[in-house]
Amino acid sequence: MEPALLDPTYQRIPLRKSSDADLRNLSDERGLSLSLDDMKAIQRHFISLDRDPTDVELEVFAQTWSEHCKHRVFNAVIRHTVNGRAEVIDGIFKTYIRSVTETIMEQKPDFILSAFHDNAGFIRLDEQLAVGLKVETHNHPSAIEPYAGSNTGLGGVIRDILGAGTGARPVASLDVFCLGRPDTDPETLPSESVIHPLGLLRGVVRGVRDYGNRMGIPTIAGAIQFDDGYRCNPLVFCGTAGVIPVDEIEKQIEPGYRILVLGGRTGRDGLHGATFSSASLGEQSREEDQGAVQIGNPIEEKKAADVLLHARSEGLIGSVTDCGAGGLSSAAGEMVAEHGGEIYLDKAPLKEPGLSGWEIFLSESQERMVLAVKPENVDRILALADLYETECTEIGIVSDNGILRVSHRGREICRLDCGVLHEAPRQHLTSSHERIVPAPARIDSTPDFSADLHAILRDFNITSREPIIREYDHEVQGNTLGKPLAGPGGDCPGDAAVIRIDGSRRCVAIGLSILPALHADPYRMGQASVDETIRQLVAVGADPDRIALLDNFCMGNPADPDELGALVETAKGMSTAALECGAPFISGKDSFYNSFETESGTESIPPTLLASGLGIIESEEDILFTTIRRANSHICLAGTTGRETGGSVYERMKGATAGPAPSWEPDTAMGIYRRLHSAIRNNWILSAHDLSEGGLAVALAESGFSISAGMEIRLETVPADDKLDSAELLFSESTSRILFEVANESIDEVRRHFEGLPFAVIGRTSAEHRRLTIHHDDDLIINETLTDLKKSWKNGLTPYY
Amino acid sequence: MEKRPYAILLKFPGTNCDVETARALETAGFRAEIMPFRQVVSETIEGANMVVLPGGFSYGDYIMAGRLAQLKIEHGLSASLERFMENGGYLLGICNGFQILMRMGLLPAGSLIAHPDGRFACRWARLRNRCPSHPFLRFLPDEIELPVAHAEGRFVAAEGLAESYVERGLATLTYQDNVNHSFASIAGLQDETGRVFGMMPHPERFLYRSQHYDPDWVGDPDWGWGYYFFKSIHDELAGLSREPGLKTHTNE
Amino acid sequence: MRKIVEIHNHFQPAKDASNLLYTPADHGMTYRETRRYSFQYSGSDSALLDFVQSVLVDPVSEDLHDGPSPCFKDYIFHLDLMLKPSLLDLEKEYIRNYVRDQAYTDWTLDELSVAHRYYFFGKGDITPQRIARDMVNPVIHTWNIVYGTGTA
Repeated sequence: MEPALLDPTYQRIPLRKSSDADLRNLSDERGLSLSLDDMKAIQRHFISLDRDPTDVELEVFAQTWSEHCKHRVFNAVIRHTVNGRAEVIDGIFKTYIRSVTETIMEQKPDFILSAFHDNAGFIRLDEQLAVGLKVETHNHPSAIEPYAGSNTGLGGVIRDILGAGTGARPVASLDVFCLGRPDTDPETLPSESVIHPLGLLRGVVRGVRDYGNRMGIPTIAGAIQFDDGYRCNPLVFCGTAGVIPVDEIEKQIEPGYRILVLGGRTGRDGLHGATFSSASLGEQSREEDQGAVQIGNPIEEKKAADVLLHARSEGLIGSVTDCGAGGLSSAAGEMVAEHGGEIYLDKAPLKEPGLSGWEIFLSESQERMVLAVKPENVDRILALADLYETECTEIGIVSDNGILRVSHRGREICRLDCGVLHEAPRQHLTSSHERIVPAPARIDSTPDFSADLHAILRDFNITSREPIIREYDHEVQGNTLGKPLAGPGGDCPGDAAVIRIDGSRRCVAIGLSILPALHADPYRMGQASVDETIRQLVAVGADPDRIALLDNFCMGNPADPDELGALVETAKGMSTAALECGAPFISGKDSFYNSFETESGTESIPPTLLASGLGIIESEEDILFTTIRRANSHICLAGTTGRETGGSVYERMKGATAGPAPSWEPDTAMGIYRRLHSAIRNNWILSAHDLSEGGLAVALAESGFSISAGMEIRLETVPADDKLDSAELLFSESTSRILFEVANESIDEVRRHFEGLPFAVIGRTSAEHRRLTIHHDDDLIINETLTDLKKSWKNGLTPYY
Repeated sequence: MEKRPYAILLKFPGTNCDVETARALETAGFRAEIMPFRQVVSETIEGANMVVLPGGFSYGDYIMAGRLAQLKIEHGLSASLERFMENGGYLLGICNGFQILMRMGLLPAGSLIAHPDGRFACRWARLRNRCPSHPFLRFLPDEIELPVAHAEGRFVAAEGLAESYVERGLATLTYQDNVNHSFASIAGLQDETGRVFGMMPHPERFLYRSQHYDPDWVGDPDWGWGYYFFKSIHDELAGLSREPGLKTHTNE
Repeated sequence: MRKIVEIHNHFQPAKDASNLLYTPADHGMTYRETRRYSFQYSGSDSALLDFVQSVLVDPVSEDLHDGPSPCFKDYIFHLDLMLKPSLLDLEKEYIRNYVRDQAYTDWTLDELSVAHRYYFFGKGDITPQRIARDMVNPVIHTWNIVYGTGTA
């Protein structure tokens, strides 16, 4: 089938007469990534219109219906089986995410101000201001070119914040990477087209650095997971938080509004980026898909941000959205979805001449924002663009007929009903999961717990991220109060980052959790991720009842029932925990086809959930740091330790068979978090540190890194649900546990305060020495200087970065 | 009638510390205004008491830090800056602003170049205040701490010059632990008049005590050292100087 | 006409080449990095040289090497790394924009390419193949490696 060449600016595709085979070929040849069902739905639509589509129209469908833009797996009907019991899930998103938010919206009126329908969701900070967060993945582009991938990944999520409401101010960023181990032998990688984990690490860190630092947005939070499961399929998450006046959250758009494009010019960049990220990688990907690689220009985006925020402060913006995947087609398409609109492609400023209509409309050139404004505001915005040395151009108008109409070189090249465009056929998928709770692991350990602790502190997944954190300007804007490195030497770890917000006396904490090591029990992994996110936020002073969450899921092939089954269970666990904690989801994203085809088979990632969250801190006075501040204070532990070493760093280090993953109990969790919060508000707590990877032993050591006092711990006092052995007490990664320091004068009140909850004073700090000593009954099982422990922790990454 | 000293902050594409620097100036008592560079004309410069070049990445700093901003200023505003300085104006460059002032040749000869390890460095630096009676530094103790965040902050100069700047009192701030391998540990410089002042550290990021990384920091009950930095120059310009009429400031 | 210049910062020490590799153990070699600009231009050569000196060179810390010959001797090999023309080279972009804004009358810039050149020195075991594998991403780079007169 040869499409007839009618005009150089567009082609008409004889779709109505196409056979199924033709439709499949067409999707493949043009790189549309549409299924046969989708192609047939589009074909039926054009048969009903009694005409064939133009190439532009077909591309607009492909882009709008792509996994990237429409989250079709998360909206699909899934037949799910757990241990032989079948259920039908009416969409993961609706069932496990949106319903949580809707329920909590009723419980907490006026807390969630926007969720899911905009580029980012918002919660209330105070009377005047709202705060939001958005996290995106940029996995495939980063696998192919890590610097460019993370660079444009961060640039893109910053635009999401700029394009939320009538333009939110970006105030902080986060980045999370999942990579193979940095000491991977290059010869063991399965393909030459797989970039070594260290090459990926260097590239993605520098990409984030060069975008974030130049934008002047502090990169304040993050995580890196090093695991062989990601060696062919790295994951790159970038997130940005934004602040907006409450009355600027609602976008306004009316017929007659002018559509403007602000920022960078349009070129042949990143065509098919949206459809590209909806397919898996293979050995050929790097050569084939280099068209999808772009390098960001942060100064271009900085100028656009300056114009936009200036214009918003003058009340000039009706609506704004970013030009991301799908380009103008997606941005303008969404913007006019309600009323319809006309786009004049001839007016779009181009990087180079000679682009065809679909190329202009679908181009994914970076650093562009699309605005809709009242006609009388156009001139002022154009003047502001000139003032900040960038470009803004009127390219269209909002109409009232519900039709998206695009013209180029005097011809109408696209005329689509906005309604049909947003009605992608629903997918039907099958998933299954066998849930086995294993017996407790028998860890064969020689009782040298000091050596074990040093080894764990050096572990790639525990060791200090200092070399990377210092590459990021985490202090720009002058509001970073809870820093990623703090304590008396400015080099101790933090649980969550905290920023002050100009114009408010409240602060915002940002935390995150990613626990792929628990993948053997995805339900518990989902719960544990939510719990850890909330726990981190509470540990730095946030109110446990004013927390909002984000979910970012990544997996391999959703057509594989086992992989999808694990994802469904993760979502279930996450959903239960969020609902029990009253923490709504305000935004989320999913990424599929994180798998790599080689001659010897397919490598998929373990289904991975990044939970991240925003918490409100009532006052600067409430902000807590992780490290010990005084001698002769009490070291307290809230939460129960269980025989749950499954997925723990210790178990992996010892090469033991997997034990049960940590369980989670909602009343205990929220009981502890609320009690701790009121204790913080009463000024009883000196420092607090959440227990996470590495368990109690690592948390104790990290707390001691201030080297302000020695620590003397008695392990038999640790609240536990059974008679546990030393290794279990030290290294189990049970959920909902927080360590905190209480001065002598407050300890009686704190004891009474925690009555009815698992709580114990497990030790004291000492002025006599600077060691961590841990006794278990009569045995002194750890006796190490804090300086030595800190040395092990501090330098694990320095040979590599 | 407005009595507050008036500071303008020049904002280039890529300047990104303008908001917090304006906030710090206002907190110290200035009237501060951020001016996109395209809006700046001779009258705006000459109408100010102090011109501030804040931190950031002017025009991306892709050629070398500060080069394009230097050229743009020289093309249009050299004469008015000269008149501004002759009339007693103060010129402050922080981080990228310091890099721009160095390239413009308004400070003792030298350059700020990439760190030997090729990295960006965001950390706090302990600094020696070498000119305790200087209008910018007189409210500060001999040793202070401020955040630094730069990739091109290593001060270099022809042999012997850096040491001579320290001897002659032109080096206003030096690093206590030479975090970026600067010659003679130089972190800040002034010109012979004392009214052109450049520094790599960011005083605007340590305005409040709570911005310090250590919750038990004991330097001051409310403010950070940056507040006293801006307060020093504010009081000088507001005529509240304890030692009025200082023209040059030498190492004491 | 074509003009090639190479710029080197003489304050930058020779660095450990192991840090460029995926297996950063000590390999006993060092490297130095320079920037190499190739101008396709018409008009006055001295006007172009003025431009290079006032815009691209830091007179305090950098040396300008005028001409195509390498600015170092006794290296084992050097790698030239360039971004593919379809990709955004930010330095090149800002140079071109500046030249366009200046509207020079005595020369015009027709084409510019910017390469980062890495000279490798010493007796270690780092081969050009290793360097190519660990430093070059064929998706975005064009590159070449040339042997020098130094001996391993």
